[in-house]
Amino acid sequence: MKVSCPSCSQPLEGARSVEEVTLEFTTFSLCARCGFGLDLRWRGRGVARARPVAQVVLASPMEGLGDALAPLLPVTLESVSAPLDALGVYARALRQGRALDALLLTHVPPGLRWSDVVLSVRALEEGFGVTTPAVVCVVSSARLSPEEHAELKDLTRVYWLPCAAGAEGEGMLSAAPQLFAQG
Amino acid sequence: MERILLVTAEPWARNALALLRQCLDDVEVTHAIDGAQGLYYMCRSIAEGSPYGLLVLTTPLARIGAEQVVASLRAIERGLNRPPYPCLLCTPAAAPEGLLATYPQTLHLQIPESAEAAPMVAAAALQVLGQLRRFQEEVEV
Repeated sequence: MKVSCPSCSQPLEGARSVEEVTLEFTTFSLCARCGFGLDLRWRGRGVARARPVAQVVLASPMEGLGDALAPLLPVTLESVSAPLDALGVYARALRQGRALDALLLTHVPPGLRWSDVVLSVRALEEGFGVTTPAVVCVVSSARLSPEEHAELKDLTRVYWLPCAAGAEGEGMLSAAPQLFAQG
Repeated sequence: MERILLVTAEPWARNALALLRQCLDDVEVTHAIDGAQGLYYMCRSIAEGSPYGLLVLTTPLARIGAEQVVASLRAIERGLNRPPYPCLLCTPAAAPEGLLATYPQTLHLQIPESAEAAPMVAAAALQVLGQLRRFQEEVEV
């Protein structure tokens, strides 16, 4: 991948084309065209890889669910552990010119509401001019408050599939392939 | 041209907008009335390549709370490999614990639950903008 200016996408001076790099930068890079400054030290976590654009994102803290689900789907799946991280994957896909087909969720962390997640996804889509919103498929044992239920009901292409407590993984392995089988 | 996004449902929002426009000639202030609309405006500005220079939020907000808006924005920035956009979170309560550690580039301002908050929010926004300008000038030198 090329390290590019996040403001205007011009490749940064001095940045090399790499397949994989551990982000432990201590340099401050400036875009030569627009002057946008990128403090690469801030990005110093994890690994950046050249990877295919995700078509489906699974946001679930359940270990191994992504690996189990990927072979069952006819599209590229990317897994993240937290629902809001899925927004980042979605934004990256949009930047690469493609909207997600679906977002698969099993849990939300304490303090975050399901409707917050879905509304954030829709806000992102509207902001980036997506015409067909992604399907949001939730397999969860959570009980929604009437208010949250009403908020979700107002949103299109959101599927809430209730399951027994602890059965989110099995439920997702069963539901997600059906989603794509139906087109 | 400075661009500010003010996300507030407070009745004094017009006062804050007017103050900001009076104090800075070259400022464009957009007002969103709930969290989802605020995040939409922010995402649109990112998609258009001209992100807001400062995001100001007050609480409470309908349709995505203020902290969740910041959390969503930070997640989007991480996905796009962008440094965090400056945010100013204005609440009547004390700063949420670990705010800066959780959401970098996010400042907190404690404001009263009255119309007196309008000039405080406007002044704080101007101060943050001034600091960002000075920082930008230093970097350019």
